[in-house]
Amino acid sequence: MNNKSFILLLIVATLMVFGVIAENARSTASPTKAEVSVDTTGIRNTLKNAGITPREAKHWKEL
Amino acid sequence: MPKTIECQLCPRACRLTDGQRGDCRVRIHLDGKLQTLVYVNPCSVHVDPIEKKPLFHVLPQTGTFSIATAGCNLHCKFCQNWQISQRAPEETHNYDLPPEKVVSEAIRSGSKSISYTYSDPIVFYEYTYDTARLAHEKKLLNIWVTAGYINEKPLLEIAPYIDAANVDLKGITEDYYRRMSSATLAPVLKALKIMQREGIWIELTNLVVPTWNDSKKDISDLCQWIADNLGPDVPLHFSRFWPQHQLKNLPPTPPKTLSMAWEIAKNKGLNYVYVGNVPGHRGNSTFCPNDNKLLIQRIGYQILANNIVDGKCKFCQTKIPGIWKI
Repeated sequence: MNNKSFILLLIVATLMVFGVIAENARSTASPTKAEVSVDTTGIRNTLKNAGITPREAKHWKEL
Repeated sequence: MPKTIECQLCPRACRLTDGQRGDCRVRIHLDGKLQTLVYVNPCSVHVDPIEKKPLFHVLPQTGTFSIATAGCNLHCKFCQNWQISQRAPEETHNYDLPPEKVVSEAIRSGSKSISYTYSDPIVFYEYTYDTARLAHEKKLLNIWVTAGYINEKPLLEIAPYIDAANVDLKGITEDYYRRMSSATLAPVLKALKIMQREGIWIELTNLVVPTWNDSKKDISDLCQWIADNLGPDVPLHFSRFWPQHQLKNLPPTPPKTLSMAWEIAKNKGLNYVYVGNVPGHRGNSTFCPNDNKLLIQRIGYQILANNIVDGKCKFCQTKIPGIWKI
């Protein structure tokens, strides 16, 4: 690879890195409002198959 | 639905998002609530001699109906019950035994008490609580065999239904509790004082582990704390370690180490000091602190002689602390 090609490759790589940084900064400044949810179906099925019935516990609080 | 909830049963204070379990493996955040996975599902059910707990000052030579579920909020390297304590309930074979059935089976077996034991009853708190209340109605005693790693509020709530407890005082340094059990010491010391204040009869067990907590200083400091904070009449059982779980590389505790511990404890003024798993040792039996007469002679879990009458030494009438009758 000659020097010109190498410099061109370096410039493209630098632009890509800055692009990623800019996108990360933008998404941090305005995060998505989508709620994170966990699918507990698998957990419930495992418990059910094991014959375990969850029951509300004492001594806890919401944060 | 809350995104995060905090369990407040024990000092770990696990913070759980939906679907997550606590460190103990048996409490889980589901449907926005903390739920227990071991209500009515013990994995161990036996009738044991009460001396096995060990409790030497409670209803001698009676049977105690003993139950345990999977899980534990400690992770002791020496645990002899690790096959259930370090397991989730779906990994153990469980019975269906509602509180009323525990009580009826206990009565049917001729037991005078129910012991919540083997793993740790703190993690099956709700099951213990409901069963213990019914047991009292039927004039059965309730016994906890526990590491005492519990917060004050839940302890105060259940205390009226717990008559006696054997509590592991595993060591006397925070470092030991951290390295051996992944826990902390201070809450255990606090729980012991609360238990005594609330009228629970307590006996302590210290498992003496070679190279870990068997120094003269460790044993001396432990005995001093007991004498200063709980008083000389709290029985202390020194128990012999056998290679188990994550400590199979260590030898069993030498009998002379246990004898040394026994001497230190007596020199610190503790009146009732016992040595477990060393047949024939003087520390197997109970002696009157006043006239040194043999009160209860034991071999293993068998009682050969009992000279305590109406809770007193037969010879000098000194009151011997404990629960001698229901």
